[in-house]
This record gives sequence, C-alpha cells and structure tokens, in this order.
Amino acid sequence: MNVSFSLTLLSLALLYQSTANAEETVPQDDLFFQSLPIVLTASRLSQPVSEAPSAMTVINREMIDASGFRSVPELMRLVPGMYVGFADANRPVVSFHGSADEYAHRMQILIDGRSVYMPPFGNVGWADLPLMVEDIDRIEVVRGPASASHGTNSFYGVINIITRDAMSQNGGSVSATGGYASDFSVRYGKVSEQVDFRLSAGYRSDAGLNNNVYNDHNATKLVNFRASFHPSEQDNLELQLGGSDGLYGMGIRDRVGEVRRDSVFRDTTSQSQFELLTWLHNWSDNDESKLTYSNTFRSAQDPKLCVNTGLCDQLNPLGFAVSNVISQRNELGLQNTHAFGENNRLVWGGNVRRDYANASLLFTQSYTVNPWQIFAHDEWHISSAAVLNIGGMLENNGMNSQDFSPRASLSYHFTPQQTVRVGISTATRSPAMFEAYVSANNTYFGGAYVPPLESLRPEHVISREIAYLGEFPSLGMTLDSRAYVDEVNDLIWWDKFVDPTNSSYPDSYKNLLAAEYRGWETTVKYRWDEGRSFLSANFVLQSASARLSGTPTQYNNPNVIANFDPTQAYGAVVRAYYQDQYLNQFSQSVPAQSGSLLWSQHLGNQWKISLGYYFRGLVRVGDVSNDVTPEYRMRRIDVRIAKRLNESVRNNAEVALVIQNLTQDQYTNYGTLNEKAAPYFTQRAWLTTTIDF
Amino acid sequence: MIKLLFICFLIAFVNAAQAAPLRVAVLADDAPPFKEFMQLLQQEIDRQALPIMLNSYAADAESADLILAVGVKSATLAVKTRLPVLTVLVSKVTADALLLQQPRKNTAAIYLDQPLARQVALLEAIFPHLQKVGILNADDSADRAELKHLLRSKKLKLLQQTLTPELSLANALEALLPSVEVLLALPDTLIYSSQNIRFILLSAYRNRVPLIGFSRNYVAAGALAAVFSTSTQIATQTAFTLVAFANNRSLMASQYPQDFDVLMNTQVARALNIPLQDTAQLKKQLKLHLFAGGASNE
Repeated sequence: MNVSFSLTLLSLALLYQSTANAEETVPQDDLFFQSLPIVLTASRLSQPVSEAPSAMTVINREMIDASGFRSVPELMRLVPGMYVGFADANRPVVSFHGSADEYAHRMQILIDGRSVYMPPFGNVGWADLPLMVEDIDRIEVVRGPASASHGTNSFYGVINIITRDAMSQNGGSVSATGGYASDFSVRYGKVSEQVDFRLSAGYRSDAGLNNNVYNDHNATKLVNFRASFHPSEQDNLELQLGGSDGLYGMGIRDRVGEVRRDSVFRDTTSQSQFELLTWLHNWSDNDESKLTYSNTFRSAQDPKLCVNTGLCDQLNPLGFAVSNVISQRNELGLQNTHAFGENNRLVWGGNVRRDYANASLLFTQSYTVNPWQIFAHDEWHISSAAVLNIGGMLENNGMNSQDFSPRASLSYHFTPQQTVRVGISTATRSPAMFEAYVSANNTYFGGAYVPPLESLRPEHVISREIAYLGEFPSLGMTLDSRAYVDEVNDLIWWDKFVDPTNSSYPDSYKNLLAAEYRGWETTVKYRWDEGRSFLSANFVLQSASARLSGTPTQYNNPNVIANFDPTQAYGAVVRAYYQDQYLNQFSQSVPAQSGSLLWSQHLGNQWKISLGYYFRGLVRVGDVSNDVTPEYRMRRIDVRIAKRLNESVRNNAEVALVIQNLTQDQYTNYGTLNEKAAPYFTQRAWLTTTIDF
Repeated sequence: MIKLLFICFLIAFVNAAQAAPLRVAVLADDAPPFKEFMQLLQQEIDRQALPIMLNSYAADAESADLILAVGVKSATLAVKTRLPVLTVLVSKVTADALLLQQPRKNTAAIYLDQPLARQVALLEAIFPHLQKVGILNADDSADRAELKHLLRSKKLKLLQQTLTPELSLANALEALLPSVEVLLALPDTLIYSSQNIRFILLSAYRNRVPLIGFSRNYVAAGALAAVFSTSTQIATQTAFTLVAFANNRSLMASQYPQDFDVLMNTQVARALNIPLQDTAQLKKQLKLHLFAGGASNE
C-alpha cells in the first residue's frame, strides 16, 4: 500500500516534469491530431478546363512573365480569337469576336470577382485600372457567353483577372524599368497567423504608340492593398483597396490643311479607386458562403473636349469645353456553394447593384440604375466519365427589362485524358447608359448622337459549341480545339441619320442587327525540360456575317434631302449606307485567321529566353467606315531575355530585356480615321530589373 | 480478408488465454484523442470479451502486468518504471527517441504514423507517371536516407528544401514547388503547424502541386490524399497485442499500424486534374503492395 502510494506520487511528479519536457522535445505527435482550417475551399478550387462548361484560356504567371507584356489588353493577344487594338496607347480595345466600337461593350471584365465594366459607356478604363500586372496571379478568359456563372454582360466572353493572394508576398520586391517604358514598383507583404497583407505601389509610363501621329504619352500612379484576416478556422475576411491617378495625352495630328475635332493636343486625367470586402464562411460540411461588397469609383477629365465640330474645325475656343465623367458602382453579392455528396455541387446566389454616372456633356442629369440578379449553377458528375454543367441567371437590368439566360453543357471523358464537350449557352447585354440615356442636347460626341426614339432592349446571344480536349502526358502535350456558332440578336447599332431636321444629321441607337459568328479555335501546349520550358500556340479561323433584324428609323423615308444626294430619297441614302458601311463589311470585322505562339526556354539555371509571335489577318472593326484603311495583317515578334543574377533562392534578382516587334512588321492599328489607322506599331525595347528582398 | 484473419487470430488467443485476466495499468492524459482511444479500446475488449482488465495507472500500478502508455507524455513517464510498457499513439521518431534516452527491455510501441513504404506506395498508386517528390525539412537533423533509398528503388527522385534562418518557408516553397510533382508532408512542428498549413496548401495549389498529408484533417483542409490509421484501427491492434502479451508474457516488436485508411479529396483531385480513384481500391492496392515485399516495418 505504501509502496503503491509512493509510486503514484512519483508518477505524478514525473508526469508533471515530463509534461514540460515533452512539449519542448517531442511535441510533433500532436500534428497527427491537430485540427486544420479548410484552406482549399470550393470557391478557391477552379474547375479543370476539361470539365468547365465553356471554352477557357488560362494565362498564368509564367506566361505573363514570358510574354513581356506590361498590360492586360496586350496579354489578351494570348487568347485565341480575342481582338486587341489600340485607338491610341491609352484607349485599348479588347473584344472577343472582333466586332466592336471603341468601347467594346460586349464582354464582362472581373478583377477578383469585381466588375470593372463601368457606366456610362459600358467599357473598361484599361489605362487607369488600379491593377499592377505584377500582382496578377492568373487570368481566366471564358470564350463564349457565361451569364450563368459570371453574371451580367458575360456576352461574348469573360476576362476574369485573379490577383495574387495576400499571403503570396512574404517580404519585399522592387522593380524598375527603363527604355521605351519608365516603370517603377515596390511590393511588400507579410504573412502571419491571423493576418496576411500585401501592398504594392507603382508608377507606369511610356511615350505611347507613335508620337508622329498621336499625343498618347501616359503616366499612371498606382497603389494596391490586400489583407486577409482569419479570425477562426471557418472564417476568412478579406479587404482590398486600390487607387490610381493618371495623366493621358490625347489628340491626333492633322493631315496638312485639315483640322479635325480630335486634333487638339491636351492632357486628360483620370482617377480610379475601389474597395472590396469579402467574407468567406465554411460550414461544417464543406459548404461555403461568400458575401462580398464592392465600391468602384472612376472620374475622368478632358480639359478641351470638342463639343461643336464646326467651331473646333476653325480652332475656335468656343468649340471646346471641359468634360467630367464620374461613374460609380456599388455591388453586394452572396454566393453559396453546396455539395450534394461527392459528385454534385450547386453554386447559387444573387446580387444587387447600383450603377451611377454623371457626365454633364452627355446627360442632362445624373443617372442611377439598380439591377439585380439571381443565379444557380450545378456541376454534376453523372458518372466518372460524364460531367453535366447546367445553370442559369435571372436578371432585372434596372432598365425595365427582365431576362433569363440559361446554359447547359456536357463533358464526356472517353478516356481520362480524352474529353468531348457539347454546350449551349446564352447571355444578354443591357444597353449602356450612354446608349439609352444620351441627352438630346448632348455635346460629348460633338452633337453627333441623339436619344433613341424607342427604348432599347437587351441584346441576346446564343452560342453552340463542340469541343475536344486531349492530354498526352507522355508527350507533355495538351490539345484544346472547338468549333462554335454564335448567333447574336437585337444588336444595338447605329441608327443612322436619325433626325433629318437636324442639320448635323446625328445618329442614334436602336436594336437593329442580327449577326452570326462561326469559328474554329485550337490551342496546343507543349512542355519539356522537366516542365520548365513550354510552348503555347493558338490558331483560329473565324467568319462573321450580319443582317438587319430591325428597321433603321429613316430606312424608308421617301423625302429627298439635298445635302446627301439631291437625286435620291433620304431613305435610299440610309439604305445604301447600311449596305456599304455595315452589312457588306461585317465579314471583315473578324480576321479570317489569327493566332499566337509563346515559347519559353530555360538555358541553364540563370537564363530564360522567350519569344512571342502574334499574327492576325486583315480586320476592320465595327465603327470604321469603308474609306478608312483597315488594319493590315499583323506578323509581330516579341522577344524577352531574362537573367537571374543571384543563385540563392532568397534575394533573387533578375534583369530582363524586352523587344517588341523585333522584325519591325508594318502592321496598322485600330482607327476610325485614316490618320489614326495608318501609323505603324514601331519597334520598342525596355529593360527591367527586379530585386526581391 | 486481413481483418478476418486478424479476428481468427484473436479468437484463437482468447481460447488459449488463461483464466486470470491481464492487468493493464493505463497511463493516459485527458487529451480528447486519447480519451477517445481508450473508449474504443475498452469497447473492443468488451466486444471480444477479452481477458484484459484496464485500470488507471494511479489505481493499479502495483499489481499490473503491463503499462499501456497512451501518447508521448505518458510514454515518457512509463519508461521510467520497471514494468513492461506498450506505447501507443506515439510516432516512430518519438518512440525511438524515448528509448534512446531510457534504454530498457520489454518495451514496444504501436506507432501513430505510417511506414514510409506505405506512403510511397500511395504516391505510386495515385501518380503512375510520377518522377519527382518534394519534401520540406525544418533543419538538417532530419534523416531522409530511408525515404531517399525507398524512392530510388522506385526510380523516383527526392527533392528536398531545408529551412534555414535565411530561407523562410515562403522562399523554400518558391524554390521547391516549381520543380516537383507532389509535396509529401512529413510531420514536423516547425513546418506543418496549423498557421503554416494555410500558406503551404495555397502555395502548392498555386503551383498546381498536390500535397499528400498524414491525417484525415489534412484531406479536409485541402491535401489531395492521406494514408492514416484511425483510433479504432489502432485500438484493435492494441487489443491484439495485449492478448499476445497475455499469452506468452513477452511483447512483440514495435510495429506500425497494420490497418489503415486512404482518403482522397475529390474536389482537389478534380481541380488539379488528377484521375479520381476509389479509396477502397487504393487501400487494397497498398496492402497488396506491402505484401509483395514493399514493406519495411523498421
């Protein structure tokens, strides 16, 4: 008894002592029992391309680096079938299916789920977007309508930009560029148990496209902050803030003896800012809910916008005015992911939005539109071989129209590596504010536009596709090929010479055109050198045709108007205009052939060389009249040579030289006037040094 | 099949057992996994009507035939007594370190972790074309000779990245992930802490590198797969080992858990485009693999 008692005491004493010891020396066994947060939540995991409901191109970090591109619009050259043009360096035009005016309304552009497709023009302010290319993790581009999963305006496609996580930056990085471009950026981030953050600040500037013709120099200051806070294993709160302030040259040099409204050289300015708050909650059964709120604000000033073409042509100061365009979007959204077992996942939710625009030269008043939408998307693995994606979105566009956009696709894996997908998808595009609400007395476009005579309806698209996706791991190769037919209806088009009583013969907008796009897109990717070197090639064949689906207002006007042609009726002039300028030329709105090739090769551990080849046939975008030079075919080669200066993993330093248009290919650019369309994209080069610390 | 054999063995032992039950003094603290384990062990004993009496060490240290030490703390204490000790829910590294500190006979462990051969077999089963496996080391002390040897015998290459005061976890991952096809997590508190796991999983996912974890929770968190033994499985094995001791009064050699489960994260596998496999099938494959001479229990 005594012995037992003392043993117990001894054991307790030992236990006490060893507790302390054990924790110092051998605590690792606890790892087997530790509870862990759900890190790779449903919304973090993206669908593999072979199971996604639509054709998708992913531009990842290594492609971004290899391309040498400094902006998102240029990166879009790596997307099969994407049109990339520049009205000038500060006004990129990015659109799937080529057909676009300068505003390229028909795509959704998201940054971390936040739409930057802004009122009143329904476009993206690419130049002053508060986003640094260095902060992009990847860009997922959906080629085709995708309202069911990406919401409103996902019409021809979606550019979904995903920035790096707050935790992806642990330490600092400085980068400086000299040569054609002068860029500077500092990035710093810290990862800790409860809070991660990254902060980037930078300056980006260059001389523009071709200073013999354009005044399009630019300088943008940018700041971006992202913090993520994990108060519990189930919750993640994230805050993103960003802003930009930029100065952008504007103006096109005149032809000798001619003055144009665009010809006055001046500096425009714009400021952008945004806040994005996300709360992600994981329910116990791996379901999750995501609540987001965002505010996006943009203000753009032009000190000398031409408001009266006649006076501007005489360089009369009264022909010009200061333009201020303010736009704002607030959006509140909820998205839930619910798994019905292992093989069925439902994503559903909704959001409400407030779009605000104030532009005194465009509208008589400020406008606010309040759309809402609800959506559901189900991904069902019917068997190990078949995946059915089915979904839809119901949207009220806040402009008296309610639409439902369904989608369905079936992916069938004939073998785990060989997949065939058939799909049908629809989407709508609501009229942009300026199309719907432009005031009768507006001067923004020099008095060239008047309000629509009848209210505009949303545009509709229905896309049908069949695709093949093959993986050949033994060859290091993947192949993605698809054929599609996209039918577009009720396209909002220029209602020409809508008011015969107005001496400047202004245009308006009306649902007028039906178009059909057919295409065949192929992407081949090949990797070697243990995956370090790669080649990614795209080739696209496409065609487009259009017909009138509505009647232009003056199409049948029998009156004779002297100014146009005293021998013809007004309506006949209008009819001839549609035939010559739009319908006959529509096939040129897409290049018959286009493609790209990006090759990246490691040479030893220090050198990396990459080469981009971009080609495109002749193309003429939507609002270019037939007497303007179309964009000639492009055969452009860019090259990037990078050397890592430090062998150690830490304190990495890299110097990279980029030369664009190495062979000085003489291709022309987007332009609505000959002077704008004709200049070549000249060769340019810059050197970038990056040091991580 | 194996389970059946196991039960047959158990029954044989039960029949052969003497009338006097084996007195087992249990040393276990109140940590939830240990409590759960003890409940499961008691259930197993009751279910099989095994001649084993479990008493707390404090109550029955004197007349006990053997100490069952659950977890590191208890094991540290138990090896300081003179009684035979069976240690459970302790990893091999920990158990070996304890015995090195306190050399003694009549001690055995049922390890908490899986034999490396089993983990490598899982890698092979999931990735038929695998070439390069990555691991992280907290310092130079970790001995990876066995793993290296095992992988080499399968024509696989081991790539290691060791943290140093200059090389943070972020840098180490940045250096390692682009050149490996899979990251194998080996328990190390300096690396696989619950605050680091978020960073590791996200970095790995960004590089499209799957992580193979070592517990069920890893799979829920976002690891592609894990092979592990449940408390029930270890309790069954413990009961079996106790019965064996009751019969011949000597402990079997230390052993890895015999029964195990394989879990795969379906969503992660799909996102990484890795062919899904039936986990029961995987388990079968792993067992066959081990029978075929792939096992290395020590």
